[in-house]
Amino acid sequence: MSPPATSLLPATLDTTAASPLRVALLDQIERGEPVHLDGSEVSRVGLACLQVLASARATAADRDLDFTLERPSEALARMIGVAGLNEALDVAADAGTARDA
Amino acid sequence: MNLDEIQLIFFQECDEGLASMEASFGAVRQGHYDNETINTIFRAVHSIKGGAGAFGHERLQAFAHEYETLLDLVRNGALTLTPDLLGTIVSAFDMLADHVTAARDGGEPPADAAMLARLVDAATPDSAGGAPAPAAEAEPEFAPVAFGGDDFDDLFAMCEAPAPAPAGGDWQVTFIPGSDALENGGDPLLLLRELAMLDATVTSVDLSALPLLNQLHPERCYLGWTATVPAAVAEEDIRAIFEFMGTCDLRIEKAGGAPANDDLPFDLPLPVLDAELGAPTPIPPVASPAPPPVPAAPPVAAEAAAPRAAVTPPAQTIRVDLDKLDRLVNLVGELVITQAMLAQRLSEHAMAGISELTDLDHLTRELQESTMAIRAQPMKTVFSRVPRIIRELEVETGKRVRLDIVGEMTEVDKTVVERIGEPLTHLIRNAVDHGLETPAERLAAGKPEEGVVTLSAAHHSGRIVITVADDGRGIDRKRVRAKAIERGIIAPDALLSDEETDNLIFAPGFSTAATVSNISGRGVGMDVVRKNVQALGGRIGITSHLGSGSSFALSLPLTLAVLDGMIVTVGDQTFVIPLGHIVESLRPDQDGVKVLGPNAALLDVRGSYVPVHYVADQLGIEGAETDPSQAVLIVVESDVGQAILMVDTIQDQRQVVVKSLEANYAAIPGLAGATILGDGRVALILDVDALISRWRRDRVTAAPLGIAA
Repeated sequence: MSPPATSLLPATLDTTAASPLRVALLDQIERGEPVHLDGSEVSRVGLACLQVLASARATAADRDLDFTLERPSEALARMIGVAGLNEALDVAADAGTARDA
Repeated sequence: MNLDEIQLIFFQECDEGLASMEASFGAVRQGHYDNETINTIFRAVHSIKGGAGAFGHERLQAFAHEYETLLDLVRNGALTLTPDLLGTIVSAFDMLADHVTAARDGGEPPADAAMLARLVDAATPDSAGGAPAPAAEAEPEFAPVAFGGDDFDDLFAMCEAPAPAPAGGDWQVTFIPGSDALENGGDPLLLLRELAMLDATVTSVDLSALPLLNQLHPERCYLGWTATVPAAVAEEDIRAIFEFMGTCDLRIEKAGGAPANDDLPFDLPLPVLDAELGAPTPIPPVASPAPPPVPAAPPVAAEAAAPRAAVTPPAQTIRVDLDKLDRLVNLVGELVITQAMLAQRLSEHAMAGISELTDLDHLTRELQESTMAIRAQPMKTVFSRVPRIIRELEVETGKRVRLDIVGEMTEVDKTVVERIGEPLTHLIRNAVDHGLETPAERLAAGKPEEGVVTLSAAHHSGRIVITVADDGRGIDRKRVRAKAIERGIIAPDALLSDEETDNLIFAPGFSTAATVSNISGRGVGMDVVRKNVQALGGRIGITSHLGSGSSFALSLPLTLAVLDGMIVTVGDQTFVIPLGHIVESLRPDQDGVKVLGPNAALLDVRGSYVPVHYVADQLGIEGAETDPSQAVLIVVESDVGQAILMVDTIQDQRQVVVKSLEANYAAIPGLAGATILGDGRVALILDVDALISRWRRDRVTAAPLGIAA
């Protein structure tokens, strides 16, 4: 995977998806690659995956790696908002609604 | 406990909530209500809404939300409870019940658009006839548009809005789900979403416990949140959201009312998060520097309880799997049998009088009664469904009905409660459809326009008697008789007593309704009612007065697991006759019995002739007494009148544990079950009603006597 490549997040980010997501992100960070995620396909998201994402961003920052979460779908942006994690994930408050509305 | 189980509890609580609402509506309709009554209704809807949100039943939640909005306006006095408004509220209640059912069974939610529009309409002061709006300030809070279905835009915007400084008296909600919050299948996000619907603002999220990715357990919850909820929201409403979250650290505090509160690290807004992320050195959890929680709950609770000291405190309960209970009941049954066997064995050795045996007898009996009491449920669970049936019937028939319920706390065994619902529904439908007249007819008859259906339950000598009475037109015996002759149920010249005429309405295929309605009148109802009641070991009786109403009384055993019976012998067999049927037992004089034929005899019981049935002959038992004057005659009451069973001897009268033949062997017509006697032998329990009516039928076909005697 080339560094600037963007990984597409799966549609369902429920609790069972948290473990594979963590493994994938951890692999990428441990290889020293920056993390660029595309959230445009996400239709369901739970807290477990949001935690993994927030932890991944902190972990990337710890290694001086870039972490971006781009094009969050409305559902994703909404849940990030509900969980109060906009700052922690660096997602603009109006990200999802602006794009999808 | 997994999510399904928690959800199950939620639905059980929904049912309880709906039942308590129904009870409150009853009080409201009779004019006995105060703020607490309305509050009870409001709270029930609110917890249904909360649970629905937590389990993702969005349609139910959306409906409950609108409903709650309207109820809140009534609660705070913004709307006056007019009969029209009450009508809307009660109709919406029925739809809420449908929504709950749909959510539970995974069915299609009811079409609620019209009802939602009605609710919104009713909640708008101008359209709600003459309701002043002194509490208009409460309106924006619950404005129905704030939340439309699953459109979360407003909600989202609300979350994103810069955290307003908590105004004086706003609630500070600190919420740290346990680390296992996700493992249980729950998701704290749903609760946050609920919270946001109360206009809450998440002011900070505690990320301090969130480890780096390599140490992160993906299904463990590490976060905690602090949110501000407007002061107008009641604390119990906030708590209700978290009700289904087992292990969570929840603090709900009133912000001191001073802006100084902003300085607390407790309320530090989001920038602190970035700092944490940059250098994730664990800092103490945000919540810990907060001042010790003000014990806000007790005073509030006391306040809520104060206005109504008379309210009975909720009894403490636990929910137990019914299977476990049944196993316990069964074991106790076995114990009772073993105790009886022990007593018998000891008596064989002339040791029946030892005091330990008496003690054991008392203990087992008490144990048995206590176990049965565990299974007992108040009739309320059945009765609470009736008001809705009445409401639907009112709409279908155009009649006006008032329902009076008496004795709803009367307790009876769960199996009886479960199986009485259907016959009872039939009887209620019958009372409204056939019993009550139309309003015009009632007025013409000089009765109030509104008909009264009385539903009552009471304990009566070891049985429960449930009565459905109406003040309608009563049974027209001439019409019943004419109909029965027309349908070929009785011979045109049959001589029937009033009671027997009334009982004809239970005959299969009988119906007096001029037109077949979709409510009743197909002539199956009453027949089925009697079958169902008999299957429960019960009897049904009618009292009716032409022009002033009828009353149907169901008499049922309190439990189906034990039975008071008379142990009798016939030849070499032992039988149990249920005591409920026995009127008396006697040994006749030489000439008391009039023998009419080889196996037909009548006994003169104080002036009325009662047919004698030779149990031995009819059950094919050999070696039994054939001379009535040497036998014992037991007078029994059955559906088709009195009859006499001729047996050899009476052994004992005692309580026996009923063992189901159906479960252990196969159902046998004429036998209600079996029991194990003290000597270890099996004794069959006679189903008196079934046997007598079969013998009657056989005899009628043999020699068409009609129903005489």
